[in-house]
Amino acid sequence: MSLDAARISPYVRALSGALDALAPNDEYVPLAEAKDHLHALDPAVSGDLLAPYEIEASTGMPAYGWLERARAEAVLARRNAPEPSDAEIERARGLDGALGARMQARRDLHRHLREARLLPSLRLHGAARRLEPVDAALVYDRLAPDGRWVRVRAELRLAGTTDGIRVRPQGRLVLDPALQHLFTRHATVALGGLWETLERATGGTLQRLSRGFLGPFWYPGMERDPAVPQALYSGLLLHSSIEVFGTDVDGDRHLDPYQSAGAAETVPEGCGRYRERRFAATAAVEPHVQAWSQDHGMKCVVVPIGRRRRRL
Amino acid sequence: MPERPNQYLGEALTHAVLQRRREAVRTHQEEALTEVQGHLSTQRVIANELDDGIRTLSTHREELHRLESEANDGSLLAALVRPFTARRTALARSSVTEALVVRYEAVSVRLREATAFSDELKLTALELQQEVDRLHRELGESLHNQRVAAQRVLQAQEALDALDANAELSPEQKDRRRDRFGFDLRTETVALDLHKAASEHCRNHLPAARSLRDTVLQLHEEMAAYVLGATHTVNAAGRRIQGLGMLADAPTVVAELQESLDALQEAMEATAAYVETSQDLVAKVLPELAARVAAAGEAGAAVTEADLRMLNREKRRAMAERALREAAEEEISDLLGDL
Repeated sequence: MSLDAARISPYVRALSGALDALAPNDEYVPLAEAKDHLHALDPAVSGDLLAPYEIEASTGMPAYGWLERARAEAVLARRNAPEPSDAEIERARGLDGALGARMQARRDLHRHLREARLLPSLRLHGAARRLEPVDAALVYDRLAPDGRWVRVRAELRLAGTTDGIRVRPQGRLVLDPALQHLFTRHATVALGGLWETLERATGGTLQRLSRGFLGPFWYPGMERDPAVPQALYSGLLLHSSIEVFGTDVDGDRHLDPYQSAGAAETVPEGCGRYRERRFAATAAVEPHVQAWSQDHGMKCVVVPIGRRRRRL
Repeated sequence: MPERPNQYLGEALTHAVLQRRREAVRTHQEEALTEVQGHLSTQRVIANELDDGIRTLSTHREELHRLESEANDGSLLAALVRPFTARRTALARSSVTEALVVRYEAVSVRLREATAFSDELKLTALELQQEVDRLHRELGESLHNQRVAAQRVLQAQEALDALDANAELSPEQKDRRRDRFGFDLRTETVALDLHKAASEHCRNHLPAARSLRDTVLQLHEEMAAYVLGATHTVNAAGRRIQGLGMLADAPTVVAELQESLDALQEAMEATAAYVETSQDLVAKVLPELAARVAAAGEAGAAVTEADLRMLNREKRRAMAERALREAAEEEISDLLGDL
């Protein structure tokens, strides 16, 4: 779905503000990249260069195509081609107003993109946390197919260099590109299945595996999920959700009113499971979220958008 | 139309001014030609890169077909073997989604490049149209000035002719007026010739300026139409590539991705046609343009003062009358829109 041009700036600023309110930690995609990316999408910066302004109907998040156009412009921006001067832009504006506006928007956008780091469509990187034995952390970021932004984080113990991961003497990890392919194929399968696949593929022993999503972003007028109360769409509501399997997690805690606890998924031996959903909400929707959570027998963290955050 | 029909329009014309104008137009057209050459070359590069990108993207179709066959293989042997091969190939097997996303992003960059280039072409076309407009304006001024100069030459000539028959004037008065009218006659004759040369200069350069403008317009129109079509198709494919990646290469994904790649096939065919057109432009249009610009620069050599001194009174009269006649013809052509 597309939004009217007039609603785009308020939309991206609202989403950016909601991200600020949520203050996601490193189990989610980096906040700075998300905000830089959203800033590029703002027509106040990029004019209509990145149109059409496509939004994923089911999640209310910016669609991949829209985000990708910003990433493509970033590639061009980093080529450091000479940019038009003010006088050249004014001259173009005199000849054709729309063309001059586009030249101005392209210059402003490229200036931003030269400094910005954007969300990747697919990215895997890793770092050693300890060398003897080798404890490594792998982080896989992706623009999820439904528009949400996902980070899979795996902490594993390796018996040394494996098929997919080579450990350099100074602790730098060299990842086989095949490992990223593996994550791409399995990033959205059940976490227990991903745990098993990663252990099998790397030959390591997983200590902790988390998958954190930013989104969906609900706002008035969007396509509604019939399974949740209408009132949750009466304001702005950004979700963050996390699912963790880990040897450092005790028991099985479920604090996600939007996902059912589900049938007993196999949890690897010696691991606990933790699932939580947090929200950033405007004042109109905040009490409804609290009530909905309580209906599910849980109390969720809801941080206000656009107001000073309470200390949690 | 000028408000002062008997006054010259624009800056005062001298040999130096005319020479400067010639140099300016020649330089400008040579620069424009270089710019057009650059645009043609860029267009060819972008078109080829897009062609490569889309072609590579569409080659994944075969890989998808293989996956679909494997996934749909319901034989007992396949069912028995699948768990073992899956384990063995956990790292060896590549993700089609991954490969498609990488290729799609490369094509997306090329499309953004083409979009920016399309804007550059439009700006150049607008600047060249401005040059055509300027030449038309100067031509209009020159024709007007030519007419004014011709009328003044004839008036001075008539005044000289009438002077000899005028019995009321003393010989000294006649001498003084003869000097005055003679001076006016020569001055206006020079002006007439300069304005005539200025008109010729504009006429000579207009076809080259039009050709440059039309070439860039054609480039822009083709690039804009191509980018519009390709963007639509590639974006549609991108939505599916990303949107269906969730299911991690499952067979249902494969069938829909194949539809997207069929659409890419159309984009690829359009690209191939576009590449051919751009190569045709480079091969045919560029030499013609260069020849036109060179011919315009050589035409219309400046009239020297020595030539003017050779003109006798009869020639001046004939020249002024011819200039008036030509100016009248120009006006008629102008009215008919045939300029």
